[in-house]
Order: sequence, then C-alpha cells, then structure tokens
Amino acid sequence: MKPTNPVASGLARAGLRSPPGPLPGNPALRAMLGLLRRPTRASPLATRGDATVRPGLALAWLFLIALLLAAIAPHWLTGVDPLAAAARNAYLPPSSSHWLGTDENGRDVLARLIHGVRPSLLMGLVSTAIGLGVGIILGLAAGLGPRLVDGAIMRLIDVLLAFPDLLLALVIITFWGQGLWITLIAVGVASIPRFARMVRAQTLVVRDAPYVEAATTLGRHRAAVVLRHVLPNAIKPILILATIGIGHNIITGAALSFLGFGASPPAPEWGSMLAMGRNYLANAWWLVAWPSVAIILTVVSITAIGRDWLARSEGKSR
Amino acid sequence: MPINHWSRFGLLLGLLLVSACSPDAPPPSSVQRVDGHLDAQGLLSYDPSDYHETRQGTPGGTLRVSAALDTGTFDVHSSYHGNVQWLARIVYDCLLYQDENGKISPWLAKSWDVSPDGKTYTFHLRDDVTFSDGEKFNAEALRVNLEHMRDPATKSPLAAAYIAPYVDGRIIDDYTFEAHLREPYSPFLYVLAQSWLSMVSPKQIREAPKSIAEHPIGSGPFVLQSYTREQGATFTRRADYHWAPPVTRHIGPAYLDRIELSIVPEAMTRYSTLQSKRSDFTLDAPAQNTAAMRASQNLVVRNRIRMASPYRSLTFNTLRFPFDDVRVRKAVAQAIDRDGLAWIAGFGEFLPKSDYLAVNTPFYDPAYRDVLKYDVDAANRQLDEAGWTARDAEGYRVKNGRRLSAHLLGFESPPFPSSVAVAVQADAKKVGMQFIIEMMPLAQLTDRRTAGNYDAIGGGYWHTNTPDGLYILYHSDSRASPTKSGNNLSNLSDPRLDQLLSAARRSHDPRELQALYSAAQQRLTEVVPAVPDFESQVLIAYRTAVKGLIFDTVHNTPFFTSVWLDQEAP
Repeated sequence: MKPTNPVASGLARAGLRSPPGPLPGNPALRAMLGLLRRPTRASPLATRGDATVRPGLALAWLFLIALLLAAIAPHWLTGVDPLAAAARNAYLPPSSSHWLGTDENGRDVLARLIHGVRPSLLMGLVSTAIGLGVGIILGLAAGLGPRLVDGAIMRLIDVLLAFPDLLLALVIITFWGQGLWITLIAVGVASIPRFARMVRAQTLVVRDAPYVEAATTLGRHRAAVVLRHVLPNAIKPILILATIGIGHNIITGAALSFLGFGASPPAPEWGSMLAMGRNYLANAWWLVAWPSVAIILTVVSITAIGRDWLARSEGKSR
Repeated sequence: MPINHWSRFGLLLGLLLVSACSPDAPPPSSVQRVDGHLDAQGLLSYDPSDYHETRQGTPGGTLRVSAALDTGTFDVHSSYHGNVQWLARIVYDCLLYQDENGKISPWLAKSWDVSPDGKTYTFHLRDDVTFSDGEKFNAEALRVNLEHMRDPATKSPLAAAYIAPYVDGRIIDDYTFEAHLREPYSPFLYVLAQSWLSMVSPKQIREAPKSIAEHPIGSGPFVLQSYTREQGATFTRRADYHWAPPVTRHIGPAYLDRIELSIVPEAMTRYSTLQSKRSDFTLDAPAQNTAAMRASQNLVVRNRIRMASPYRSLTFNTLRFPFDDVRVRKAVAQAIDRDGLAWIAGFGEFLPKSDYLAVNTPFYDPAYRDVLKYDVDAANRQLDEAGWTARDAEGYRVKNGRRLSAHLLGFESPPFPSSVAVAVQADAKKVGMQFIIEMMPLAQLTDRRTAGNYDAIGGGYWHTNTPDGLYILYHSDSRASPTKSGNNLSNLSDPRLDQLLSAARRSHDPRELQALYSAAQQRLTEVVPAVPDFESQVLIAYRTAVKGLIFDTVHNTPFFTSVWLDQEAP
C-alpha cells in the first residue's frame, strides 16, 4: 500500500502502528493476490474503452457471483440432495456420476460443496457486520468522546487484540455453548478490535478536517456533525477493508467448524467436511481437496475484489 | 493468455452449473479380512499357534508402539478403558488365564477347586512370584487386591461389578486362599482372567493407593519407567520374571529390553509413522489405511474379534416413545444396512452383525444371525402394522398427529463416528422415521445417560470373556437407578430373558449353558433392545521386523511378553 492510503496516513497522524489486519498475512496468499493484481499487458480486452479488464479480477467476480447464486438458490446449481446418504456408495473417487466423488456417507461432494456455500458466506457476512457495527460504535466513541472514554475503550481493545481471533472466538463458544449463531457472534466479536481501532484512527483524522470545523462553526448540532460529516468520511475506506475482512472471517468460521464447533451433522459445511476428510487423506484425497480449493478460491476472490475497491477509492486504480 | 483465463472460467462455471446425477454404484466388495477361520455355520475359530510361542526369540531391542488413546490411569481396578486389555499385561499378571479353547488355565494360581454348591472357590497359588517392589505374591496379596477392587474409594466401574457376588475370603495358609460367594456365579473364574482384575502390589494398595494411577507396581514382565499423561510411557524389562502363563509357552523374562508407548490420536500419523519406520507397532491401525498396509511388503495387519457384545449402532430406551413399541424397534433394526455401516467404518475389515454375541464367544449360536437382517420391506411392514401408516409433507410417518421421530445421542468415538450416525439417520428416513442427531462431549452424554434422558444412544460395546456380557447389558438387574450404576441402557425388563440369564449364572454344565444362552440369544432378537452393527474388532499393524507376536486368549489383544525384534530391525 502506498502512503496515500487514507487509513495508513490517518494512522500515521494518529501516531499508531499499522493495524494487524485485515490483509491476510499468509505469504502464499499475498503472492496469489499479486498475480491477480498484475495488469495484463497487450491484452485484446484492454482495448475496450478505457477500462482494462484484468482476467484475474474478472474471474474473482464471476466466482463470487457463482457463490452468491449457490448461496441463494443452491438447487439451481445441483439437483442432488446433499443429505442423500447411501453407505454402500461411500468413498467413490471422482467419476462421471459423482464429479467430485462421494464422501464417507456416500453423499455427493459437489452437492455438499454447493449447499455449503450458504453457511460459509453467512459466516463471513454476518460476523463481519457484527464486528463492523460494534467496531464503529466503539471507534467513534473513542475517537470523539472524552479522553477518559477513549482511554478505557482503547485499553479494552488492546486486551482483546492480545488474543488471536480464533482463540477469542473459542473462549466465547466455551462460555455460551455451541451452535451456528453463537459461532457467528463469536467470530464477529473476535473481529471487533480490528474495526474499532481503524474507525478510531480514521475518526481522529476526520475530526480535525476543515469541513468538520466549518460545520461546527456554522452551529450544526453535534449529533448532526457526527452522523453527516464525520461518520461517512471516516467509514468509507473501512467499508472497503471490511470486504477483505469477510474473507478472513470465512477462514475463521471454517477453522471453528473444522474444530467441531460448527453446525452438527449432517449439515453440509466446508470446515466440517475438511475435518472429516483429513482422516482419509491417504485413501480418499477428494474429501479434503475440494473443500480446501473452495475455501481458498472464495477467500482469494473476495480479497482480490476488496483490494481492487481499495485501490479505486484511492484514485489509483489499475 | 486471456483465452486461457476464459476457458478456465468456463470450466469452473461448468463445474458449478451442471448437476451430477448418480446411479447407484455396485456395493463395495465384502471380502472379509478377519484373522481366523469363519466356517459355513458362521462360527469363528483361531489357529492355536496364535496363542503360544512357536520358536524362541532373540532378546534385546526397543519396541516403539503407538496407540490412539491414553488410558489416563494405571490403576486398572478403577478403569473400564479398552486399552487396559493390552496395557495391564505389560506391567501386571492375573490370577488365571485361558487356554487356546477358552478353558480356564493357571497363571498366578496353580490350581483351584469349586465347591459343589458353586459358592466356595479355593485357589492354590504359586509361591515364587514377587512384585517389582520386592513384595511376595501370596494369599494375603490376593485378598488385598479383591478388597481394593470393591473398595468404594477405588470407584471401580468394572472390576467391582465383576466380583459383586464375592462376600469374603479366608487365608488358609500363605499360598491357599478360599473365596466365598453370596450365590453361585459361574463367570467368576473367567473374570479373574481379565486385565481389569490384575494383581497390584499389596504394599502399594495398603500404603499409597493413589500412586497406582501413575506409578503402578505389579508383578508383570515389564516395569513402568516413566509416564506422561496424553503423551506416552516407557517400560523396561524385569530380568527376574519367569511366571508367564503356561499356555503361552514362554519361559523366562520378556525378550524386549524396552517398550516405548506413544499416544497418537491422529489416525494419519499412526499410519505414516509406521510406514516411515518411526514406529514399529500400532495398537489402533486405522481401518482406512489397512488396504495400503496389507499391500506393503514391510507391514503386517492383524484383525481380531473381541468376545461378548459386538458394536451397536444404537441402543433404544424401551421406556420412551417411540421405542416403547417393540415393532418400531424391530423395524429400525431391519432398516439399518449393516453391510453399509461396516463398509464406511471398516473399509472391508469389519464383520457386519445383526445378532447379540460375537462369533467367537463361547455358546454363541449362529441360528439367529439373520432374524434382524437388513430388510427394508419387512421394516415398512412392521411400521404399517404398528399403525404408522400416514405420512407428513416431509415423508415421515405420523400417527395420531405425532411424527415418528426420535433423538439419537452420540459421542464421536471409534465405535460411533458421526458418519455412522448419519448413515443410521439416512437408513431410517428411507422407512419414514426421523432421527435427530445430537453429537456431544462425553461428559454431557454421561449426564444424559445417568438421568435416563434419551430416546436412543449411539455406539457402545461390551467386551468380556463370557456370554455373561448379555446379563450386564440386558438383564433387568443391570438397569441403572439413582442408587446404583448399570449398563442396561435399554432399560429392558423381560422376565423370560432375565430367567434365562440368571439360570446361566448358576450353571457349570456346558450343555445346560448352551441351551440357556441359545434361548437368550433367540429372545434378544424378539425383544430387540439394541441394533448390533458390526463385530468389536481389534485392528493392529506392525513392521515385519516384529516377531513372535501372540494374542491374549482373554482379550484377543497383543501379548508383548513373547515379542522380539529381528536382526533387520531399523
């Protein structure tokens, strides 16, 4: 990221280190994103108007659209029941009748992958919404409130940041029990600190901007200044970063369901498919391979799109 | 090239958009890979040489062993863990053993007499046995051990129940002990041969019973050197050991210098360490990898059956709706495809089962093995007869406005992986019955079990070396109550079955026992308290450098005293 990034520069002015998230730290993932971002030279598609279509990005969009379709209406993509078990058909390798093979209960892996999109996307979206919503409130309160409030909130955030996301989510699940909604909330809460810190840093930048000063001088009500001027300007870059956070939360959700904290069987879920499949790695590789590929592609697509938005918002797209 | 990108996309979209239709594949080959000889009548017999040493081994070396689970304690009297079957044989000895044909044979007791009324047992003990702390094994040691088993402080879940009819003992002389029973109890000698009833140093029991859990002192062929919970243990040979059971034909100390046991919960790791020579032996060979292991030149797979009760796919609570109706229980039993279950859990290693005793149990009667066999039409007929004729929108049967539905509780474990729960659910749905699966941690399951708050519980097996396992699981005396624990999870109380199983406990006559146990096995297929799915099997694998392996006649698990490592050992 260039220093022109409003978030980074805001953080710099606020005297803060760069936040730990939300860009995935995995070097392999960074390398893949780098590939997706590389502009294509001499592409015939680049001649269409001003827009340069990057195939990587286009693929990411198409994959995301397919995912959304699978989440909204999985039965349009597959006519096979993801719960139709037939023990005698278990562990069949990919073939013309089962394109991606069958699992340990003889169920079609492709159908389960497609029906598993909804919980995965739901995990990413809802938990990010929770994290963002609470994060905005805490961040605004810290950035605009009195020093005491700021100090209290930021120390709390520091404490929460000391725990890795996954650990924090596990603590919450341990206290409030298992289930899809608890897991969603747990992952959401675990992402609050990241967002709260970004919102606070951004608010500190916007708070002293001339247009805010002008609105205050004109005698606008304080609430109106916050809602009409501070919030929209502070939030924009964070919303974009939140899309990348969705990918991160999908991974956290899959990790939790891999550890057995997701939906109970026989619900199709990518993380639990992986967890079951790992015992059969040596003799039924397809049980692990396909859910892994699905998770990687989903996260890479969402992250690529988010980063593209980020670049555009900085006015230096393409 | 952009074209490549677009074609890749087309492929991706194609994969996503087209639905795969699936005609049923042929059922997996049901080649049975169980050790031993399974005859046409369905009876299993093992080669006698599986149980005794056939040639002398070379002393020395360290055997690296892996197992899936930690037993958590070496105080075998306080445990019911399955690992005790082989673990106790490393550090302890038992009073008795069994021969190749299942008859009781000597170990620490040279001989014994049973009074005509079946209530007094006199044991004549060996006089040359010592524990590793120097204590002598004698009549007093035996008395102290029996007391420790039934001491409430031991909290024994198994040993105490097995010797429940024992009232008191009399020390006649240093090496003669007389045990008095409350009532005739023919399994008494058999249970004394089981690992859970091993002999612990009387000094340790008297002075520091708590220390048995981590620093056990036994009279066995090896001494525990170190133990780290959930990680492993190291055992070293006892040089002065010379009292292996005569049946094993092993003379003198064990061949191995050391045994290093590692606890490896990951199936893949147990397989790969064995394959890459980082371990020599696994006591829990993953069924999914046995095909590869059998194909390997350097590995040997053994597949043995434990006596008594086979694995159950589920046990019904016969007091609760809908399983208070025997027709519903029978229908579920007939609806579950045991061949399918054996395949998904055992990859062709497991022997499907629909009756209530393991094929190698004494007095097993194969006559009723097909009464509850997989038969969807029969299951549907049973449910129709029981009045479950209407169907709701989801295809489930309803009667008087109530859906034919039950909760199936389970704990993720080798006898009951969630894939088996899902298969049971899918099979039941095919006959219009709904199972709601609830997989939960063991502690939560135990609570629900103790409170009697369940419709059906998945999994479970009961291994013992006599058909009296049926009494433990299905006699009305074995029901749990607020004041006593019990293993009759079905809460079955059938006067006819009770009468047969009680009579069998009093009898020593093989012909009478055969008649009683045959009738009991028949009765079980009529009252259907549970659905057996496959035999309870011991799958082990080891490198070919491991020689001299024999099996325990009591548990059919490895007996390490006679194991030795060949010259080519890594």
